[in-house]
Amino acid sequence: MTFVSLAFMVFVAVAAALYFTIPVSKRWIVLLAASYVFYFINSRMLVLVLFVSTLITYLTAGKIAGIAAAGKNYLKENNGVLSKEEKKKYRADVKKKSRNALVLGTVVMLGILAAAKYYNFFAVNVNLLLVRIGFTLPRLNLLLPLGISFYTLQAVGYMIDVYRGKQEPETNLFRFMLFMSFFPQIVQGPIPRYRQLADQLYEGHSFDLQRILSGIQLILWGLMKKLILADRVGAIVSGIYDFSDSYTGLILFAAGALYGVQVYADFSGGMDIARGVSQIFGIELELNFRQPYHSSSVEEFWRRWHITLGGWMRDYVFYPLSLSKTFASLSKKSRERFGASFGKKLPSFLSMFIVYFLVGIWHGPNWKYIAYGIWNGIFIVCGILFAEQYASVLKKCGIDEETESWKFFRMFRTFVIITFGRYFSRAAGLFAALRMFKNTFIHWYDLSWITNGSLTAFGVNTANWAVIIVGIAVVLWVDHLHEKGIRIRERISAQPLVFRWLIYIGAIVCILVFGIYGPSYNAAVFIYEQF
Amino acid sequence: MSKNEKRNGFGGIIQKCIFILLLLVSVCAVNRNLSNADKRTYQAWSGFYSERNNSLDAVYIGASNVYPFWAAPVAWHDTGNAVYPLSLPGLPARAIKYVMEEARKTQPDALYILSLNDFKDMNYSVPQMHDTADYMKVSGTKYRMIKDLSAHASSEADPLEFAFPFVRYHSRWSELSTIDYVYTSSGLKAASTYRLFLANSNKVTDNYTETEQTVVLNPEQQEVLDDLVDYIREESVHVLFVIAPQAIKNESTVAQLNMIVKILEDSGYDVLNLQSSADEIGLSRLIDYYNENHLNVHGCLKFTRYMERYLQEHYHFTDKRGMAGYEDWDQSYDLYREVIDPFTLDFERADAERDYSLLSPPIVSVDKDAQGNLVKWTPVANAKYYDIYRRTRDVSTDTYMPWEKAGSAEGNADQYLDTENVLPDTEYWYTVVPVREEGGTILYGHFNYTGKKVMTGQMAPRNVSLRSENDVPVIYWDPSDTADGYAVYRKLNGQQWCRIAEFAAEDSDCVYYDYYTEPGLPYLYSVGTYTYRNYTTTYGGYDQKGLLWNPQGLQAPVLSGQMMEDGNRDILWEDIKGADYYNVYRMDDTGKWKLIKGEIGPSVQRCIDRQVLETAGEYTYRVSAVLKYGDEEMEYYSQPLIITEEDK
Repeated sequence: MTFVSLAFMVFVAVAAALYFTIPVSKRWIVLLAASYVFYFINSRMLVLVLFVSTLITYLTAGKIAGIAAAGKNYLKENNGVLSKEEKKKYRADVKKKSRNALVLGTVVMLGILAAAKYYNFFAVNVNLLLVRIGFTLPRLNLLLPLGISFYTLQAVGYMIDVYRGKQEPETNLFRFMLFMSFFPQIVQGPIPRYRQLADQLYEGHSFDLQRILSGIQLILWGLMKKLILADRVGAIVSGIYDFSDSYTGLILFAAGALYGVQVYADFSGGMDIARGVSQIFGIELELNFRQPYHSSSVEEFWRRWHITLGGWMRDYVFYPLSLSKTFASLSKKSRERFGASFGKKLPSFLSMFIVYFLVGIWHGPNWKYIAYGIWNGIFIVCGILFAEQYASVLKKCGIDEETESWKFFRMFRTFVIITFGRYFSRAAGLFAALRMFKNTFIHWYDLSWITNGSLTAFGVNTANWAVIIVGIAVVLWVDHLHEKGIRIRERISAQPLVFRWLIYIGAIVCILVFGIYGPSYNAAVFIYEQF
Repeated sequence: MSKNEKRNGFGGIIQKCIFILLLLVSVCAVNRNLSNADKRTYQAWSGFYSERNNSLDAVYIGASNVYPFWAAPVAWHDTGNAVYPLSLPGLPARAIKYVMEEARKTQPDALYILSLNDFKDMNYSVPQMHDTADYMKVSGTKYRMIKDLSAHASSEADPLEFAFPFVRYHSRWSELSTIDYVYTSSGLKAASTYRLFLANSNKVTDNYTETEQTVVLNPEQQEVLDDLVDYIREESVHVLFVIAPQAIKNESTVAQLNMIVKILEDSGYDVLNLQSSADEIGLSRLIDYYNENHLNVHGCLKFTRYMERYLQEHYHFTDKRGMAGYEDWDQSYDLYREVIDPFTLDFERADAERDYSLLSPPIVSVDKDAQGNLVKWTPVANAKYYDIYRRTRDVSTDTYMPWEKAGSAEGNADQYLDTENVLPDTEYWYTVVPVREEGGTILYGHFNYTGKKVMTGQMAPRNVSLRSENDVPVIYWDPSDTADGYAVYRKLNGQQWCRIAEFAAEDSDCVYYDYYTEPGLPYLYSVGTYTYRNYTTTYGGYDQKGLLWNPQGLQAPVLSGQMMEDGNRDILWEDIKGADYYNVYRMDDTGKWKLIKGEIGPSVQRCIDRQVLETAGEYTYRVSAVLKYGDEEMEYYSQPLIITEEDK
């Protein structure tokens, strides 16, 4: 039951009907039931993995909070008894116990993720070394639980927040189960923070037709992006990437650009559906995209693309690493050796590099994803490292960075870098991506592929190309309006009835007619659902 | 009252209902126009549903083994029996029961003619299911049929796609054509209008197998047959099972059909097995099929005639022609005539007597001629005469006009010049029908259904005549409706035609005086037409024979000659302008002229006579200048020339 199936729409309608018919205080129970039913329908018995993960997280957070509370009580009770030194030592002991609990919980959670998602990758690569001594690790055919990459980060973030004292642990297991399993976001995010989502889930929302209609609009927009644009472009992208060795020249870059369109329309479309469904229940999920193709640098791109993953990495990896004692010590040493400026930035560079390495590997157990992360990491680090020199060159050249043409150039430059990065994420493997790099610059000047029928050789005829071009234009236009701060749904709501209806009916008819679905097509699963 | 409250009030409910209604209308429109089910099934179902309750004599149910075999409007015209073909291309045998059940809701008392040919292949695809079900009314029968078919289809079917066929077919949005938006009943009682059916003819002899053997049915055939028979028995349906004469190559398939026939006959049901009756019906496997499973319109008319007689003999349906409520059946015949007339001949439609021993005369050629179109064929045995039919085709719309009889030719003829109302720049098709008579009955033989085509050019004007006025040749002709102008051609006999004058049609009195002739010379005249389009003049054909102007005749040759040393005689004469050739005569002993050498020249003006006559010392010669005009030869003789020994 995917987001783009009629069954899912019926499921949401039934869940919404139940939600709004039971007392407000009990409505979260409907969401919990719906979430587990949804998960069970899609993953059958793997729902147990979700439940076990939830239980581990719940118990760990409880334990951490318990240790902290006990320590606090002890200190309070013995306020006049313990010396300052004893208090300090006791606090360190408590923190150590809490940290041990956190580490244990985190290791178990990440262990489940690693076992399910990365074990075979690990085994294959280790076996390359072990084969010489006649020993190999076995490969396991484990099923990947739906959304494990998302809910694992969600759980780890929650445990860390509890450890840091930013978050009181949830004492009601069932409520916590809802937080971990909320069905619109479990498949492909966004990766929520407990403090942002939990209260919305539990409080129970009243029936608000305008809000529901607004949610439906968002769902329609998501469906349009996914079914009309992403899956249509996907046919072309597959046609080129699957036979990438057969192509040379800029057609490979065009395929990378189209893959960018596909993955954006696919992922952001999925997010819009998730947010739209959540809105029906009165729940606002975090934005995961903010017009990423308006970015003027790679670093900005990653602040606009998959925002909740970036935020998670920032809060739970980047800051802890860059502010750690180890990195501080490293910074100190490097200042002595390479100078103050570099030494000061080194912890940031290293942390950044590690973050993007992790972002890469988070996408999947494959060297190409690691390369994908490193590719982005290199450009971001270089951007920071050479920022001063870059500014100096611009100044010398008399380039005004505030001009529209320069802004556009920076957007285009970012687009080109990101597109080349897509070679890694979409190619069959790391070496295939590298060959694509090389082949892109062979006969790059030969543009005959534009007119010689190569573009219509993937089952996408001229009419479908027209849909793609119009679709891209509409998505860019909507992004442009969002960038200018225009809230389109509010604008539409303010329009005369006839115009509104035309838009709504037109959108539905467009999805029905131009959408890639039904027995004639093999509708693609969401790309990020596979991560 | 706030805006939201207003929207949520009673007015809001009405507003939302209207929105949902509009949305449903839009979705239905999308659904209807994107549906890809065979439009012939739409015609079959919509036509059937428009029949009045209990008005049909019979309902003929089957797949595409029905509509190319049974032309209901023709049968109605012939017999007044209303036998409706509920013919659904690709109909799975498993669906016959449900289609019959649906039909019996409005036609409970009709005879149900069930095609058994559908049992040949029990496999079917989901699109075939759509062809069967999409235009069927929503009912429990339809639901059960889809459920049953879905369970046995060759690929998985999504139940949703039968409620909304666009779920399967929406990808064809870029292929939509006008026909996808047209949902009007043709009024043809589901008679076939398929282009291949009307225009194609294929030899199927290589795909034909006959056997009287039977084999055990496969489990699915047996199950479907049992299910069908159970339904018929339980509902006491009046049925006739039919096997139409398709060209089946696989012997075991024929044997399976034989087994089904045996089972049904043993159970007491009427079965009309025509699988081996093609000859009896008059069907030719050389020309009456458009492919191995389907008859063309010519075969269809033969089969329909056979079936309608069978039904009349065995079921005695009332002749309903002229009865109130059946006017649409009369209309269906008129409409169907418009469809089949360009593809069938009058005697076929009139069900005239046929003699299939008269083979189709091979058409050798059809060529355009200045006067019309010349059709040539190879004569066939036993033909008393030939009827030549022609039709035209509008090339721009690819539309054929009805065949019409152009004329007749004797049995020993091998060509026919069609001059009657032959239009210029028109595509004509000709076919030749051998005919004989027996006991006062005219019998028509086989003929080439498609015929052979010719594209005419600009025709020569009609009634060209030549008169003499004050010794001046004057050429007259009739005006042409299609010409932009006329061209007058002249030639001296034996030379090339020259265009000597041109007139715009509007300025011409259709007469030309030729003042520029040389007296005593024979001239030929002809008149052609021309068209002027896009700054280009195109000259049409003209009569190459021409009209002869020869008031004074040719000059007579003037002879000279001598006896040669070896005794041979050398005769010489002057060239005569306009002569086609020369004949040389010698007087014999009795004083009669004898041709000794003919058709000399016209470039040679000499003849050596080598024959030595012992009885005479002198030789007398004469030479004629010959003007040949058509079959006529006009000779103009010289004075006699005597040659003796002394002339040596």
